[in-house]
Amino acid sequence: MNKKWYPCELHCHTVHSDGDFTVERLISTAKERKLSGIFLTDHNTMSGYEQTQNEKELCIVKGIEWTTYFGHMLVIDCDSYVDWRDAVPDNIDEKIADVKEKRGIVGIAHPFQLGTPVCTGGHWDFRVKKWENVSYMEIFSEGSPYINTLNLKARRLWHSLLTQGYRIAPTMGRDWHRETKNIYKSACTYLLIDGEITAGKMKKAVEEGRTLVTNGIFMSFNDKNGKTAGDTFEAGETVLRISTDLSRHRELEPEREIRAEKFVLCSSEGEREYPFGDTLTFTAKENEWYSLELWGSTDGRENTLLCLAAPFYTK
Amino acid sequence: MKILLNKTVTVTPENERTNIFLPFAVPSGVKKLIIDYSYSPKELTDREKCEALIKENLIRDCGEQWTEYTDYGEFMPLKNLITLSLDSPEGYVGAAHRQAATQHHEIGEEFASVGFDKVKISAGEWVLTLNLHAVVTDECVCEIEVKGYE
Repeated sequence: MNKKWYPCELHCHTVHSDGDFTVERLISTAKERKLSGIFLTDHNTMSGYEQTQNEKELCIVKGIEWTTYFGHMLVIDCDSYVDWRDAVPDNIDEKIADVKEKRGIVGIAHPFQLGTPVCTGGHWDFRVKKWENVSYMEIFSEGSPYINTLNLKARRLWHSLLTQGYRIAPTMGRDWHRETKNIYKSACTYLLIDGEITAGKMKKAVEEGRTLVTNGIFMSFNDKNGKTAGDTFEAGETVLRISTDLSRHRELEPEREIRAEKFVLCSSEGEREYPFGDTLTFTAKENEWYSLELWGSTDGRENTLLCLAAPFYTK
Repeated sequence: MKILLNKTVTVTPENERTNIFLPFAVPSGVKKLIIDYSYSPKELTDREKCEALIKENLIRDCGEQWTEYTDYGEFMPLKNLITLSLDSPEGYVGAAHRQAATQHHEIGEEFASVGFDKVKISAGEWVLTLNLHAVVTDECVCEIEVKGYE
């Protein structure tokens, strides 16, 4: 096994819906950003995917953003089309189950974006009961929490779902329609993949909760058994060995400084701070989730969330 | 060339968040469909009405934080958004989810406009659907014409 974190963008649009990118331009821009893979998620269509077939370097997963009247839902790699037009707040569990039956996965896009009429259908109003069928949620949409304060609400919702026992992967969605200047170039979702990246492995990483969301800095960690985000740990005294890396960020945005200052370990009991370093020691409770976060300063802002990892769990 | 569908549909805010299905029959021998679609008005120009709708939107979706939005300018003017989606007898062909209020699409086996799959034009019942994402004006008139070419 040779697991590696790959930088990816999981929410992309093109001229096949309301993006400015042609498919070719999206691919070339993704490569310029040193991304290894993307989810192609045009609004209510997958017609752009055909134009990706000759692409050899960038890994592209076929998806669609259900742009419904009650929320935007990302549907990834479904064997056949499931209709978005009859999705209403009280039948969403059946619609998601239909996607799952066709081997697709679903993620919730920007749950707290404004809805109709400002951003039509952008606010998540679906009444999901079977959260176990939701694979991921955009915790960072369009950038960092302090760029879009509604992201903090998404993080709170995500934490509450984890506490209820649901295993949902956090992602960042650039909601990439065009080249914009206000979103950090190095912000992305990293996916932990065994061996070389493929479309199938990207989907599996999200499904298994092996994600890392960052506004630029990369962080990885493991316990003494080599376990990391998405894994189940032993309860008891736990030492996390942690490393950070700014090389991709420095290549893409040398002008923006990022300074890591502390770790925050989130669980059902709340948030606990630890000093920044290469280890973090704590006592893991049984039957708990833990999400490691890195806080610091960037872009003139102090004490801000820089990076967060999908949870690990204890027995 | 045959005109397969020619329809004018007037919608109001009460129709918002619904679909209007417009079935049409495609005879055998048709190789290409051309869809011309427009709707008007696109924008709500009444500033007071815009502000009232934005305020309602903010209160509904932001809770107590709605007061943090002091400048509604970035949301103005509000727009109608009525997109098209298309189904063949075999299933979903695609959608044109974009803001343009005048659209022209071509669908065939060799070529399809962005948003739609290339598909064989089979004979039978097709359905063009108006997806009413936002209707902010008192009325909005949608004009649709579908032509079939052999």
